Amino acid sequence: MGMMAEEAKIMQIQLKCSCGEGSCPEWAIIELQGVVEVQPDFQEQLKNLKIGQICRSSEDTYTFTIGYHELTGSKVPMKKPLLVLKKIKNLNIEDNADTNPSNPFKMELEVIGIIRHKILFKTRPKALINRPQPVVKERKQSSKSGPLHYLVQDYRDGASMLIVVTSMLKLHNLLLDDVIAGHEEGSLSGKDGSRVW
Amino acid sequence: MEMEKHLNCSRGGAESVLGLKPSSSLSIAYHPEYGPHNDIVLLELDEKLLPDVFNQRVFIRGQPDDDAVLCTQSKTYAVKFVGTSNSVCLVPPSNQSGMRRKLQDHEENGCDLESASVIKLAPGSMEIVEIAPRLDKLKSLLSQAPYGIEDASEMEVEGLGRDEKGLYKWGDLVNEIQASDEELKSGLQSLSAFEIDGYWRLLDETYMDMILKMLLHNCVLLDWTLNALDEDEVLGVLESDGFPRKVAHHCLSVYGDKLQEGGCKPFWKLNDKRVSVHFARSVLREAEGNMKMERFLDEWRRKVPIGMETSLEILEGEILTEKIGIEIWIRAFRASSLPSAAADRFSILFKERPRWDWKDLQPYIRDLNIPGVSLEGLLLKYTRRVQSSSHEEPVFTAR
Repeated sequence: MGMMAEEAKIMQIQLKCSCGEGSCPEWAIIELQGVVEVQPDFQEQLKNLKIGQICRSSEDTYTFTIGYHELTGSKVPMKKPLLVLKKIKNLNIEDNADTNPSNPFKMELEVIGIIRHKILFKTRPKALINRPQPVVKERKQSSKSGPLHYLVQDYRDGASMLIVVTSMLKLHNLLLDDVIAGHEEGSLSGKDGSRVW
Repeated sequence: MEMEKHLNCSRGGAESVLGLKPSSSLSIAYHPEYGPHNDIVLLELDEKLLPDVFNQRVFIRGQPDDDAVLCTQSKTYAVKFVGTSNSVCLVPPSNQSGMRRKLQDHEENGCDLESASVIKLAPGSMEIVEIAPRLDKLKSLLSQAPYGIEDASEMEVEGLGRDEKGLYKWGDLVNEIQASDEELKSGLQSLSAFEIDGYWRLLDETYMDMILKMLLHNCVLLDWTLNALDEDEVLGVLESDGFPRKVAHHCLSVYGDKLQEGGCKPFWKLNDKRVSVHFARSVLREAEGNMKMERFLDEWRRKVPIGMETSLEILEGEILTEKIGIEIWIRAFRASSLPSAAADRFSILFKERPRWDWKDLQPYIRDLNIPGVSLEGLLLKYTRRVQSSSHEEPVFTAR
């Protein structure tokens, strides 16, 4: 196969959708500041593990209880809809193989959902130290009976910080299965749009 | 009871979250298939682009080292990735195929907790911003193999063994050029490219000159009216002169305008300006550099058919003039050969001349197209404006 002089060219990637506009499955986002950490013992058993409880306490208010923390938030419409895309690699068996015999694969992005609302929690969490315990037998309180989850947030000057990094995206980053993180030459901005560092 | 920790079911999904009623609550758990799912990404799109997506009319174009670009039928967008430090938990709808849990299991385990599951934490999402189409590459690709005499003569001998290097079909261009279909078509048109045997080609300039000259020669010889050329007759004669019909037709469309056809016979009128500009270009090409204005005008007028205009006004964006001593000199400087990116464009312009009068500069920047930025904005960003007094014309220099 000594004919590799030319780099394998990739074909255009189509956004495909097998659902119509009206019937695109709606996904939801629950967004909170910080990172939810799990007790080390449970890190391997995440599947089906309960994170916390969301309660809609009033028309406009939602609370999210994680471990000993309670966050308050609301349901907000997305300013622009988010499409949920799945990267699919297919064998390139189309009859326009005259354009690209050296590349056997074709990549597609399938639209598998749309997000129009999210439940956003951006307040500082309230500590629930005296949270009433459910009526549960107390006989076997193992030493690891504390909350499984705790919320870790980054505080600067007393206010919780949202950091947003924008970067250009190279096509090969999009194609790889790795986490899309874009270039290093991004720009950072704090919650109020000011540069963080 | 371990029910508090592990849920035996994950029946609920997005609809449980979005439809949560006041004074109700919902457990949130990790989905049984929770994981990085790097094959799932989020893309933010304006509502008005959604019909294009659902009609399969949106593509991501480019080669691996290019910046990712998204194209609809008519517009081009750069794709950025916006990462966030927030935890963005994605909750799929409960009946998502491929992520479905057997409902039977749930019922058997006596699961009746209202719950919803998080399948993935999204590190961020992709956003798009409209950009000008990246068409510079189009000219360089098509210039690899311009259509000339050799191609015309072997036209009838199409074989499979033909060397296809440097030749591009529409499908190839779409993979290489980061522009929407409409913008690509428009780019091909402004390059006067044409399609033959499925390939998009640029006509070699000398060959084009040959065809045009033959056409004008025939007009005189056969007493054709320049204002009403019979397409069939013209193409027929040119074909017998050795020019393939398709190529001759292309020449007509580049230098002529089709007359509104009342009947079924297509008629063409030669476009004086385009013919005139063509000959100006060929005079300058033969001179290979600077020419004295007098000599240029002389040779130009000799080539152009009688009656067609030969004033310098029509050469806007084609030539630059310079006074050296008492002589005026002229040289070719074509707007169409300049890069389309603003920064590069101004850089080349100021290399050519450090100072520009507005009337000279304008033809070289009026086609700059940066969505969201006006021409004034571009001038502010890339030039310094100098005006010695209010009744003098402003002059522009590099910033």
